[in-house]
Amino acid sequence: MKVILADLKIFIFLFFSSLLLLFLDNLNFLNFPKTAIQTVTVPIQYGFYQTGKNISRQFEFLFLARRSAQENKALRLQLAEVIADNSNLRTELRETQSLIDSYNKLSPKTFDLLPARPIGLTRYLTIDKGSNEGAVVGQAVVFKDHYIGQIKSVSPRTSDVLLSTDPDSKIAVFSQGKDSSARGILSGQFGSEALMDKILHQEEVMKGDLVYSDGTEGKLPKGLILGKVVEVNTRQNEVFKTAKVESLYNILELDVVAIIKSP
Amino acid sequence: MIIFIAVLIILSFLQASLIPVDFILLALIARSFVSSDKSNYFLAFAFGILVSLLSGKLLGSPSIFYIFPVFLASLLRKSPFLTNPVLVFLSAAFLVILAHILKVLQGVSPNFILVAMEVAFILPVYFAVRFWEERFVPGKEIKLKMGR
Repeated sequence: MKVILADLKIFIFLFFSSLLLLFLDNLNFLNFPKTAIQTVTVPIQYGFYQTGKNISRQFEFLFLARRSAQENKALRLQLAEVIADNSNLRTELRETQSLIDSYNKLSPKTFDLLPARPIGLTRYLTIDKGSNEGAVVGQAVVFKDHYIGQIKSVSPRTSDVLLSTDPDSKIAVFSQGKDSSARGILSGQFGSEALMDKILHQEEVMKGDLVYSDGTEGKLPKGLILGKVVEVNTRQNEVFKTAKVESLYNILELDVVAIIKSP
Repeated sequence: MIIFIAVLIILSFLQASLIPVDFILLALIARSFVSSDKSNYFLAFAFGILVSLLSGKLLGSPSIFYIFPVFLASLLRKSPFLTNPVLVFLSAAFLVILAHILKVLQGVSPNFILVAMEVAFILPVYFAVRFWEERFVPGKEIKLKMGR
């Protein structure tokens, strides 16, 4: 009890001292000593503040590095998604563009086109449209107004296309240049070339002439481009001339082709 | 004692310029729980003035926030239950909240996050002060009564 009373005395004394200080300071009586002491304490306080700021800056670097790493990871993911989206959009754009081109070249009023995607290339070009979509053997497959091949076999979901460069492919064609024109049969050779044969000597065929389908095969319309003459072979002792014909498009670069359902 | 005062000075500068947590209040409450030294009151008074100088408050107002919890802590110290750290924590938390209530009564807006932070610091500060007082502060000489 004695100890508590002693504590209480000190407490009351200091409490009222504090109240007195509060009162005096409220009346601005303590401004001078306060200013004098603060002249010393303010620079120290500033030093503490600067030191603390520098230390926090050092730690901030660690936090920033961690956050940057997380952001970097998130951005990489985002970038990958954007690239994938961009790639899909480009593919769709290319496909749409080529479809538009096909429709522009081959009037939809005349031709019923069925767009298809190449899904494999071995000897034949495999496309993703089959009998379910109305593909039939013998139908022509084109890219814009360029002849790609003829459907050789169909399954419900896919079709195999006999390319114009296949040795089994034989198409009645005519070549047309500025000052030349000739008729012949285009036979495939293995590779990217075909041979235009059965050209009469009196008919003119020149390098650079475009070769078109003659349209005598029934399902193949007239006027589809099959390629460009790259070499003319004239042998006087032979009955016919021949010309090497090269396709204008690389099959592997095509994203979408079209099946001509009704020429 | 000198070291404790030096630490309190550093803490005053720290809390006035960098960390808003009232370490002085925590250290004074912890010391009042650990030691019944009368100097606790004077430390509370003096550091109240220093803190008010450093933080630009009216002189004397922090002293009241400090003296009052120190007095209550000294009273609580006399209770036999205060050896349990959980009770120490609860009592100190009560005193910290009381100090904040006093601040609110003086027109300072309450900051609950700050109160929570200070409550979280109670036990670390208490054990640090207790460790220091028990290991590094020499106690009074123990005089043994020699019976005949």
